[in-house]
Amino acid sequence: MKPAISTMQTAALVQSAITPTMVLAVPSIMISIAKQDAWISGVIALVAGMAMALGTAFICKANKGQLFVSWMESSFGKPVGIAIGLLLGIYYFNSFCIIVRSFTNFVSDIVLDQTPLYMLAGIMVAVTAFTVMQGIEALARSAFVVLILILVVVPLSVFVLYTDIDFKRLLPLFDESAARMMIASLPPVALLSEVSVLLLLTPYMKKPAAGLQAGLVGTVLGALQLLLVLLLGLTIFGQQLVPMMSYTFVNIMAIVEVGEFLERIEVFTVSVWFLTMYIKMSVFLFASVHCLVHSLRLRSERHMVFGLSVLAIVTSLTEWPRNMGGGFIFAVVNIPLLFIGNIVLPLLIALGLLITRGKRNKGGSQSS
Amino acid sequence: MPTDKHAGHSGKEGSPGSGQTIQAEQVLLPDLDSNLERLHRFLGGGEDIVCRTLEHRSFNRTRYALLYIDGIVDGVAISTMLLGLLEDANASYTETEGAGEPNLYRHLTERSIAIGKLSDVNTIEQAGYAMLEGCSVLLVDGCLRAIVMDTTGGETRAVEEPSSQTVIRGPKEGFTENLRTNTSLIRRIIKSPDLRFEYKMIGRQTRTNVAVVYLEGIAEREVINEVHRRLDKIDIDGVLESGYIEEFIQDRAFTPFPLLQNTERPDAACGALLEGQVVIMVSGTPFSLIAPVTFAKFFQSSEDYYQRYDIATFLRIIRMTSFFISMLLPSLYIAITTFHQEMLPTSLLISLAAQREGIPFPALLEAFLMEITFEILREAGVRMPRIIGPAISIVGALVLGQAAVQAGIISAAMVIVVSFTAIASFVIPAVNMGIAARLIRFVLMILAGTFGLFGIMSGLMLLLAHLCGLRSFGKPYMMPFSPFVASNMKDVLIRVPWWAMRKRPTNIASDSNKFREGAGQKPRPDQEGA
Repeated sequence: MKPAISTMQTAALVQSAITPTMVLAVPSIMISIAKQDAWISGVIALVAGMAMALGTAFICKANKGQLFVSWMESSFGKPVGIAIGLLLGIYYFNSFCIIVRSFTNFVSDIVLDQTPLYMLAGIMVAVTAFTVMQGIEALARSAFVVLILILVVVPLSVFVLYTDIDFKRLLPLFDESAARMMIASLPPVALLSEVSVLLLLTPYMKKPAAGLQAGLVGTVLGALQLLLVLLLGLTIFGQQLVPMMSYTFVNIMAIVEVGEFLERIEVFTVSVWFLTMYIKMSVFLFASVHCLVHSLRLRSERHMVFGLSVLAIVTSLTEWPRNMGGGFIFAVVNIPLLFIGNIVLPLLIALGLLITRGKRNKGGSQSS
Repeated sequence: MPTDKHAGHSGKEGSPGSGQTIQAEQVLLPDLDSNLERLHRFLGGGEDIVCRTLEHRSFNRTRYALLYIDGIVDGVAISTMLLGLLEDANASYTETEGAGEPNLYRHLTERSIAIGKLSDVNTIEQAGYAMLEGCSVLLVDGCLRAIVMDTTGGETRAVEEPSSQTVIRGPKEGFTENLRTNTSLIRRIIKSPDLRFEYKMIGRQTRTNVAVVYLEGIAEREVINEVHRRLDKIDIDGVLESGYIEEFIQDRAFTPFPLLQNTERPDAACGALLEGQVVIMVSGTPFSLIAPVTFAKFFQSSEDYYQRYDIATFLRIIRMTSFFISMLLPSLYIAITTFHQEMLPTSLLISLAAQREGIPFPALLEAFLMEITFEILREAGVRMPRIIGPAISIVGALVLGQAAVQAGIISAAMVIVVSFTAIASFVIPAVNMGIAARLIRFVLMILAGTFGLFGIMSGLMLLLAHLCGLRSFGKPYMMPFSPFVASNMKDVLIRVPWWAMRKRPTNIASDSNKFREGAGQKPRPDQEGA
């Protein structure tokens, strides 16, 4: 039985593929470029994200329910299909390794500075592998539960921070040039391009036609969370302090006190955020396994999950130096990779589909 | 009892490895003595096998014999029947023999035996198995068939209040070990012609009767067929309790979470039937199984539907919170005191530090010691004679706890944490879900002691993924949370008033019979002129 995931679950998966990294490292980069107008860059990124969701959904419409690699093979022939599958599989695996390493660094910096990195990477990958082994349905359902949790926690967080917010810190509006605002919107646009994971998810949807809806909802939810962190960061700390913070949203939560009972609940907030992080890692590991298993014609996904997990631990720990900051990983390593994997490759696929459309239609009419 | 129950059982008799050899069944012979001797031999003799041989005054003084196993038959029914047979044996009839079989057989079945349910068998094995179930067998000389009379009875426990699922408001009847009593308890509540009881026999040696109960048109046909399919696959020597069956038919073998609900309350079973679930009743146990189930069902009590909806909602939230407390509290304590002390206000931190000063163990070990001690006490409380139970609780909870704190082995805060955790675990209405929380608690404690809150969240992510991957008879275990089914949310965390729960649970009950009540029943006395 082919697994079936609902539109909202797909939206939750897309949202999870985007948000955890975006709220972690992007706000300080954006505010350092666009100052108090960074939130406008966030809005620009939201619009660009929606356009990318539209584009991805448009490509997905050409798929008549086949799994990604099979679809590519039937569209462009076996060798090209396999090559695209392998390429995307390697892209998702690389991204997975980068995510593991940046999250490992983050956990080590924020909460567990004494714990060896290999322990942290080990448990992260183990939990992710277990989640992927439960199947795409379980992953999608988990993503939906986590999304509900976020929708409860976020308004609560804004509520407890209300007294610290000063909207005057957003003024003057449009103080930065349009060019700087556009440059500041590049990192979130790169992350919002993760909506391209829809290419792999749509065949699993109960209603593949609702791919556009899922992509849009996921993108908007992700971008809104970024906007919220940007606005909270700017209105609470101002544009001069935020660029000095590695993880803005953690610092925002650090000022919260619940009565006299709990202080510095950023650890707690970060703990809830861990769940979104796990979903993100699971989506990427799933995507990698999915592409590689189907391209290499393997029968067992479990063995591939196990193999890639071990490889991911080793790669993420040995590929980059210990003291490498999250911003560096993001700016130097991730952005080019994101653009290639999520924008260039889907664009080429779209182009290929357009070119071969006539041929397919001819073949289709002949076969019918 | 089912009319076809003497025909065999659902297990694979004589299958490879079963230890039994396939033997041809022994057909009944015309000679009564030979049949009696073979039947005795089949049953292995024994003083409890009663054989009463009679000779009829008419019908060419044909001999016949009544056999039953003492202790498992209804004594009154046997006495009445025997009295009738003796009177009949001394009466004179002038009928002649018919073609094919002695007339006595027809005479007995049609005129003489004062038992409601009769059937006939033609082999020694069928007669023997019928006797083992409490039926009486009447063998007639010269006849190739035997009459089987349902005289099932004997001493059984009376209907009492359920011991594991007590309620303040609601019926006080509970299932017993007798399947017939249990089916009658259901019949008394649901007086519907759509109520179906389908019987099976499982267990090569125990030949345990199992009833699959459902409401035709309300339960999903696919689920009923799946229940039958899974039950038919069971091949085992004996079924002593429904737990045996549960392990064979659940969707996933390796999970701490229960994938079937059990109940000893007829009202709870009937509630499940009305919601489209299937009840599996097993002879010899008061615990019936309910399938399919979802995670949220384990936090519902039958009392929720008898109390006002607002109270029921409040209690459900308390139960759900207690589940998380019983699973997470010790690990949160360990994580915060070991890794995240900055989360605590200074005064509380100093107080905790002062308590822990001199304690020779880290928080993780301290918690483990206390938890394991408590588990031992709990197990001892269950196994001890009831009179000693409270004494053990006092010694364990008060004396041992107090002494441990004074001796500086355990901190007072840890005693509070473990005690509160223990109390919270008793709030969960389903014992099997409480056990799951207990097991998971230990894993989370280790993760908290190793990775702090990050470890706990990693554990919770594992649990979430596992729970979302579970199914009960094909139905997602985490429904209606994920997949989200809005209409079913009316009876999960909150319980809306009865007049607002018009629909049966979607995706559990059959789509062909969605509504359980009429529309527009919200009380509006002011508009009705009351």
